[in-house]
Order: sequence, then structure tokens, then C-alpha cells
Amino acid sequence: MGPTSDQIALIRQYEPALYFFGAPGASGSERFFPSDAKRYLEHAALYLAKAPFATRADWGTPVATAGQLGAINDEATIFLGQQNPSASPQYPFLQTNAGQEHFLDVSGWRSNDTRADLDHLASLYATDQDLNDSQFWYHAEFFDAARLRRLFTNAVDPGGSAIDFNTLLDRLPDKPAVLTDPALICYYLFYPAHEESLSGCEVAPGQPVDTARDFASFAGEWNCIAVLLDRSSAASPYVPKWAGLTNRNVGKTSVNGQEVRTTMRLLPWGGMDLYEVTHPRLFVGLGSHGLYLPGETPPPPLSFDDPSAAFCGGATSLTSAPPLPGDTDYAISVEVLLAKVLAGAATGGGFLGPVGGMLGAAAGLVWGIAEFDSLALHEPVAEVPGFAPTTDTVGSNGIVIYPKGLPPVGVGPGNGREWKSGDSVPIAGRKYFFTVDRTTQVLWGDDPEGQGYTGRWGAHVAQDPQTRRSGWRFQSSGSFSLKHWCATSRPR
Amino acid sequence: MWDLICDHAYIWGTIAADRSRWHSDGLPYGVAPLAGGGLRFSTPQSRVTIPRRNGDPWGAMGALRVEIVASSQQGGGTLVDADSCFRVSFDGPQTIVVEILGYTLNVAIMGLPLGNWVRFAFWHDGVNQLDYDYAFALPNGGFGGSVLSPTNLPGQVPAVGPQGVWIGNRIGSPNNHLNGNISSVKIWRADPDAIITTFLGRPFTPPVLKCWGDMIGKISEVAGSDPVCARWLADLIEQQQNQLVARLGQKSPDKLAEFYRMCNAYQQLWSAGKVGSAEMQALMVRLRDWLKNEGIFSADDPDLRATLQNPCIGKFAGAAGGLDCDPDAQALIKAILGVGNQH
Repeated sequence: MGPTSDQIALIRQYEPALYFFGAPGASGSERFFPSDAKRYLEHAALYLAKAPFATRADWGTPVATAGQLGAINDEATIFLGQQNPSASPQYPFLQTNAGQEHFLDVSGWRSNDTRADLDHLASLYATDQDLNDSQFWYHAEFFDAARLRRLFTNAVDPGGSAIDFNTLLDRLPDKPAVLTDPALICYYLFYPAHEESLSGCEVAPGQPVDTARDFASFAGEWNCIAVLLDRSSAASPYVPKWAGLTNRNVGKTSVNGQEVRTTMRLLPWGGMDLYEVTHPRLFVGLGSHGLYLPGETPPPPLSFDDPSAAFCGGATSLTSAPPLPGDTDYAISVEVLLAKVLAGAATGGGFLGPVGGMLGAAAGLVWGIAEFDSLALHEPVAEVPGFAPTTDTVGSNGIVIYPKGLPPVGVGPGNGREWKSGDSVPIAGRKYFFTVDRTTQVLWGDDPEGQGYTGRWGAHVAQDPQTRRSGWRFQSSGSFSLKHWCATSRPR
Repeated sequence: MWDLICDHAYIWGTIAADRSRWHSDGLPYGVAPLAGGGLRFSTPQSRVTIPRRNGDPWGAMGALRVEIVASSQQGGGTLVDADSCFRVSFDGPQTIVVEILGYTLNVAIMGLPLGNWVRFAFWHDGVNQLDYDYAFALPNGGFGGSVLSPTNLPGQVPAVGPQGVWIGNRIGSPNNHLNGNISSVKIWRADPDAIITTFLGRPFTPPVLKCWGDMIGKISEVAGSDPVCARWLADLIEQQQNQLVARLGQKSPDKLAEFYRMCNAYQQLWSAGKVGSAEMQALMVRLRDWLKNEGIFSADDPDLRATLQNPCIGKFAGAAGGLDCDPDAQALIKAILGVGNQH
């Protein structure tokens, strides 16, 4: 079921104003803005790749070429949601079997397939009228208390998160529940691309070395602004309590076997910068699209747990080899130690014959022992890595997207853009929606209320052991707004 | 380096969400949230449990650091019980007991009033040192704290068993539940990837980086075609690491400090790019001889020799090739081998 008119009114009531960095069109300014995901998909080729997803041989040829796909039946040659009940999977373009993944590609690749061609993508969004018109669009989903309860229950996953959000609705003997009759609005922001290079790797101002440029850039990014409302009874009006703001995960992206690319922090609604009473103003990180409050200084990322980032991305060849059998957590360490032992064996063997190989292996072990580190000497402080993701840049001098008819103070025709999001918007014989209805729409991932597209929204690329440059998947509502909510945030 | 594997702060209802990258989320039972943060544990059912899962960090600990902010009511009880790994408890309002590696450490928290919050931390370095500290603030503005008091306790911190981690209760013994409050729990282990940070600290040139990348790529290639040998080699590395730690654990603090100084000197030379330098070669010879003289590691060890004669070594070494493309590293190996200064 889609949202009711009252729910749509609430979605409109809390629409954000987003401030992007850099003068419109100027070099170094933001190039990608929240856009209609359906129109992106209609311009994309769809691939069905097979593990290990590492090269073109794994990606194969498109199962649907650009322009063939449609997200509503009969709108295009191939309906993304077509079903074949006797096949496995039943929805061949929404789901995949084990060892397979779908991904969308609009722009192609560059740099020996190690990067999505984001310059081409930016050019398409500047010159293709249809894509250009699809900008300044968000998608929104409304969860009432009943849906939230189902969501909370689904979020309790024995193999994944153990967090039971239903406890927030439980009344305790001596105190009220944290939430009474809550509702959640998720403003999903689809960006055609995310741009992120490694810092400190410039050969000249604005010119990072090749391996650092676009080290974590990719096509097809989903962000989210979540507003959690509550009311004391069904007859009372909703009151906003908290907001959730996403950012990218700069730590390890593989967590308990799942790919975690986003984080969300939770802020009390009282801490939001509002204008026109209910609309939050948010600054957007240049390229990364991390969300910040006005005046908030983006902190330097705490860690970048990705060895392939060392030497401005040059160490990828060291760390992208498949792991040795066994405990993958130790794989890279073991490989380095093993390399020392084997280098020793080869060197010793070359000088001293077969016995020398053995002695050389022992020499390699001595070399490995030299790496030993005393933990007793170290406090567990955050390590200062020799390589780092870029600290986000934000500012109010760029494009500002705001609710229709409500420009914030200081925003004029030069830099202001109204949200274009609407429902049943007709364009060239097709229809476009901004409210999410999982029972009838097929874009929204794997969900009990309706099967949606589960693949990546941007291409796989080569030499990407941490999947930093591969497109994101749309996270199911439970994981997007809830699973990482508490885990990455702290109510103040 | 430490790896934070559990970071609970009980500040939103009874939700026990983990803020570490490992998502060690807890399941709360029979606990009540406190105004201002924290959970109240008061019944035999009270606990927050962190279950074990495939691929979680609890299966390889090595070393351990725990920080807890808690308060005790009458009787005290269990603060954290990590199955077969460690346990820490209040024994009454002014004593905290740590059980680890078969050893029991009793810490008297002098001057701590009943019900007063205390931050208690203890750590084991994974070799032979157990230590702790604590601090608390009094309502009248006073405070209390400890000084470091290391205990010699050889051993590596074992993995957490299948029953996982229980916070506020004792596994299989509900009567030993905590009667008190816990505000936060943080747990670290030894970072298994620390060696990578050190290794990548060398100022590699692109050709040398490619040299190592190619070599590791070849090793992975051969490993893919011969997983049995690959497993044997990985086990060999792990066994040698465990043996090293066990033998180091028997050494005196002075001897250990001597060893750590050599390792530190190596890491400084390595990160300064002086890999094949005369200083590095001399250091590696000194380290080799020290390890031998202290009975920790020697190429003359007949057991090691027998192990290293396994054909897997030759097979992998032949496929991976030497480090002709990294003459500095080769000079380092030759120094350890004692085949002369080739640099």
C-alpha cells in the first residue's frame, strides 16, 4: 500500500532543504544531485554477473541493453519485474541465484575497468534532457506503527542484527515506553554517482595521482534522511522526535559476511536546523553526499581499515589476491608472513641448495618475528593511518534544493532548485512516482511486502577487494533505517 | 594494535547496539533502563547476551582489553562472562574479581561507596602481562583511582566459547547475576591485521610494490590450485606464531623489553625505508642470535628442520620465485642467512 494523503502531507511537511558545495557548473563543484531512480534505470544496461565479479569475464554481456528496461509493465521492452513462477529465481531481473549478482550500468568503465566512467555519467546528466530533468527528485516511504512493528520484528535477524527495536514500544512497570504510536518517514536520495578520492595524494592542487583519484568513487548511490515521529494516541498529531542522517562507511565494508556501505547517525529533532517551522536544512558533503547540520564541521574519518588504500591506492595489487584457505580474517597477515618465508626459501635455495631453502624459510620466519608488537605498550587509541579517506567538504555556496515554493533565506533563482518529486507524473508516455509502494513498485529491494530489484545500482569494477567502487544496493528499509541506526549513532 | 570488537553504551531503552565495526549486538533479557543511561540488572534472568556467529571476532582473541562502567548494589555479581575466555565480577561493593587464563585477580576498589559508578579496565597483552586500572568520582567532588600493578601471567587469551558473551550474568549460573547497573562495556582483542599496517609502513616504490603484489598474487594462485598445501603453510605460520608467543611468555620483563626494543628498531628502520641497510642487516643478525640464545627460535632446531622439509615449501617457493625485484629485502634475508653483506 502506498501512503495515504495524510501521510503524504507529513512527507511534504518535513521535506528537507539540501545545500550542496560549489558554484553551479564551476570546476570542483558538486556534479551529482538526488535524482529519480526510475529514469536512471530506464537508461541503464542490466548485467547478470557471476562470482567473483572481478573482471569483464565475470560480468558477461548485458541481459538488457540501455533503453530496454522499464519499471512499470508495458512501459518498455523488458519489464524489470516480470515473473516466471516455474523458474528459479521467479523474478529473473529482480533476484539472482547464489553466486550471481545483477548490476546496472549507465556510463561504462575507464582505467582498465577499475573505475566507473563518472565523467561520462556527469556529461549524460548535463546533456541528456531526460536525465537532466530527472534531477532534484527524492523518493519517500512512510511506515506507520503497524509497519514499524513488522519492520522491528524483521530486523531481529538471528544471523545478523540482534537488536530488537520492539522494546522501544514496551511499557515498563515504572516508566512509559520510549515510543507510543510512532511513524517513520524515509527520504531516499538516489545519486547517479558518489565521488571520493584519497586525501594527501595530489601531485598538484586538485590533481591526485591516478590510483588515488576516485579510489572510492562509484555509480549508483543511495542515501537516506529518516524522520522518526511519535504521538501519544491515534487522535493526536505526530511530533518529530529524531532524525537519522546517512554517511558512507569508511571502515571495513564486510561485516559478518554482509556488505555494509552506509552508516546512519541519530540526532534529536530538537537539534535540527529548521526553517519554515518544520523543514530541516542539511549540508551535503561534496561528492560523498554525507549529511551534516549547518555549521557542523565534518570530522576527519576515524579509520580507514582498508590496506589497499596504502600508497595512494597503489597497494591494491598487494591486497586484492584471493585469501588463503582458512580464517579469512587473518588472510592478508598470513599471506605477508608466508611471502617472507617463501622469499627466504627461494633466496636460500638459490645460494645454498636444498638445505639453503629450508634455512631461508627459517630466515623468513625470523623476519616475520621482527614484526612483533607489544600490546602492553599501547593504549587502544584510534590509529593514525598513513592513508586516509577525504574529510568531507561542505558549504552553502552551491545548489540548494528546497521544498516547492519555500526557498530558504538567501537562496535565489541562481542557486535554488525546487524539489520536483511528485506522484503519477507523466513524461513521454511513462509515469513517475516519488512515494514508495512496495506492493506495486519493483525498485525497492527484497521485502516481504513486495519483491524489488536486489542488484547493484552501479557497475562492478576490477581490483576492488573492499567493493568501494562498486555500485550500492538499495538497502531494505529495515537495514537502511534501522539496522545501522542505533549501532552507529548516539542520541544526545 | 587493538581491535575494538564490542562497544555497548546503554543509552536508548534496553537496546544493546554495538558501535564497533563488528556489530556485536546484544540481546537484553530482564533488564530495565535507568534515567540518564545504563541498565539495571536485578534478577536471575537479567542479562545482555552476545551470541557467537560465523566469522565474528570472538573466535580469535590473542590479547584482551575490557573497560566497564558499572555500579554495584548489595552482593555484587557477574559483570561480564565471556565463555571460556574471561570473567569479571563484583564481589561485594568494593572488590572486582577478574578470572582469566586460570588465574584469579582480586582488585580492591578502595573508598568506592555502594551504588557509585566506577570505570574499571583490565587487559592482558597476549604474552605474559595482566594489568588493570580503575577510577571513580564521588558525589562530593572527590575521586578515587589506582596505579598500574602488572601481574606476570603467561599465555594467549583464548577464544570465546560457543555460548558467547553474557553481560550482567554468569553463564549457567543465574544466581550469580549482577545486582547493580552497567552503563557501558568495551572489549578489544589483538588486531590480527596489525602486521599489515607495519608492513605497509615501508615507503615502497611502485616497482617494489608491484614486486610484492606479483609475489602474493602468485602465492594465491598456487594456493588455489593446491589448497591442502596452502592450508599446511597457513597452519605452519599460525603454529610458529603461537610457539613464539608461548616462549616469549616465559621470559622476564627485562628480556621481553630487550626483544621489543629490537622489534621496535626493526619497525623504525622498515618504515624509514632502510630495509637493506647495514643497520638493518646488523639488527637482523642480532635478533636471529638473540632468538637462538634465548631458546625461542633457531634454524638448528631439529623439529623445525623436519617441518620445513615439507615439499609444500619448495613447491610454493618455486612458484612464487625470489625477491630479485626487491634487492633490499633480499639483502635482509641474506643477512639472517649469514651469506654475507650483498648490499
